[in-house]
Amino acid sequence: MKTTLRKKQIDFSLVISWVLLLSAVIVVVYLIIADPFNLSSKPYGAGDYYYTDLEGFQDIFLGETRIPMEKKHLLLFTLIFVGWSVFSCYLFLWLEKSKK
Amino acid sequence: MSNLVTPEKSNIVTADKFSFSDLFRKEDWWAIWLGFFIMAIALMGKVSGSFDLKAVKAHKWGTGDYPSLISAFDGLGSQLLFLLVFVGIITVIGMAVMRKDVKGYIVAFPVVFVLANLAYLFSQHYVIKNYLGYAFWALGIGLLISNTVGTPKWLKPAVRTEYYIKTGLVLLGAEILFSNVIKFGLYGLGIAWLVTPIVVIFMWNYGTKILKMTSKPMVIVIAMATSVCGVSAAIAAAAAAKAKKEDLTFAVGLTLIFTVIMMVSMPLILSAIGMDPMLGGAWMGGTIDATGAVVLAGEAMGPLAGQVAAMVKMIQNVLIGIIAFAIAVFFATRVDRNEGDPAVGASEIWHRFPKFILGFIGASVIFSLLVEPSLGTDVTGSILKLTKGFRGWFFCLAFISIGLESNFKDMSQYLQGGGPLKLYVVGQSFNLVLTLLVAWLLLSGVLFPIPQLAGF
Repeated sequence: MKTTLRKKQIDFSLVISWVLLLSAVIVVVYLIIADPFNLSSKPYGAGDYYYTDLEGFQDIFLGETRIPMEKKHLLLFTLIFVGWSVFSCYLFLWLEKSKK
Repeated sequence: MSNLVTPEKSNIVTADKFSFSDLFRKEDWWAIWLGFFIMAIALMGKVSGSFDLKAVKAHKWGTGDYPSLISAFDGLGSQLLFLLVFVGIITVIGMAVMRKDVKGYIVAFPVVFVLANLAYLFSQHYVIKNYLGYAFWALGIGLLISNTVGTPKWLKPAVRTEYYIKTGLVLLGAEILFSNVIKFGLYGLGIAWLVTPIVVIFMWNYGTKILKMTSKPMVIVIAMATSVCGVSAAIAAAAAAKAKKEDLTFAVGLTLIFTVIMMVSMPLILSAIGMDPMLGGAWMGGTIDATGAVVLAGEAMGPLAGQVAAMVKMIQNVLIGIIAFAIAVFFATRVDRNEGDPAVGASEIWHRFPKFILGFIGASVIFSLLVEPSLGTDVTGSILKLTKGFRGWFFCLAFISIGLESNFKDMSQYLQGGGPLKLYVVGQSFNLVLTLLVAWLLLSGVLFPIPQLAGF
């Protein structure tokens, strides 16, 4: 009976991804334990997921507009926003159709 | 495997005709009623000035006024009891009208609430607070229980992931204020909105075509977490796409880990290479996932970088609503369809569409177009300060539930081939490159005048 030796192919991208993930976990654990940059003294951080989770979010996010816009620019803003949204939807759907 | 939303288990109708009793018998609608009830009470209390509907959690402990773990609950006993009773009553009313196991829920809910309390307690340690939030601890506690002693049968009536998450999302809708989209003008629109859909489309195609990941909801959840704003976006996408609990768990886990790395490393590297603060802030705002991490990283580069980072991330926070709506429509009309099936008609789209999204969008529209213009930004912010507490609690309860319903054996099947990991790494890399390119084109003065921010 012949035995066939099969060469195991290494998925390098998977290996790299796992190395990255494990390295990231080790680094995160170190950062939490050692707190080398004294981030614990800050009022907010990565544990605040959404803008209202931050202490003093009203001052940070709900203050005055930083770049005042004229009415004509507001119209342009709206047109670009809507236009790009519609274009993105069509692009997404077109790519979905083209792969079938 | 259990889904975040499973057609056979959930109350989302996909085949039956709509009847008005659905408004009271279906979980999606109850999420809307509960969310709007809490918003209405918070609004009445703030406008009348007679009471504040607060959802308290453990104090930040380990230092200062609250040095020990036990001291984290100082002065909060009665308020936590009120919270337990209030949330318990409003949710049990929904359970009763939906004809669920009310007795079982009344017994089990206080225990799930206590577990959520524990998650908040651990997350409020003064060091841990700025690295990992309640989602990590809630998932961890739930997974620990389910994979060691096992989730007891008597606890399961209150393990209601969909119920909690949808209610939380309706409350999140109120925090999405359209007025914040324009704060950084056309520059912010370009950095936050031009890039985000491209990254989502790239990651979707990379995940489904190249990596051939079989779980399409997982692809979109990871894409949203990466390109928009981390945990909150992942939750919205998971509910809109009817993702499995494991999909959300992986997306949240990946985003939490890499957010910490980016929060610490990006300002260090950008300051070391002398990057312009406005450009650096925009880059970090568009790429770091958690909003708190964005602001912290931005401010590490200086006040201008912090302000720009916050504004860019703010736009992405607002865009969650629009993208979640689009995902819900897409998954209702295209993904659930088999090859060769006829096109889905409007009534079928309505039946499949997750109705709580209407509450999510509705809350945003009401607060953006009615509440903020009539009461002003300060009062609106004060109301949101109250509702966000309840939103956090519902999400925490949801993550506890996800943990209690998940097991490592099921989750390990998703790790085969490392698809989620590869998708996140490649997608985030693409996000970093594209955001930097667009930010540079808009803010360097090459194509457009460099913006002058008020106050700087």
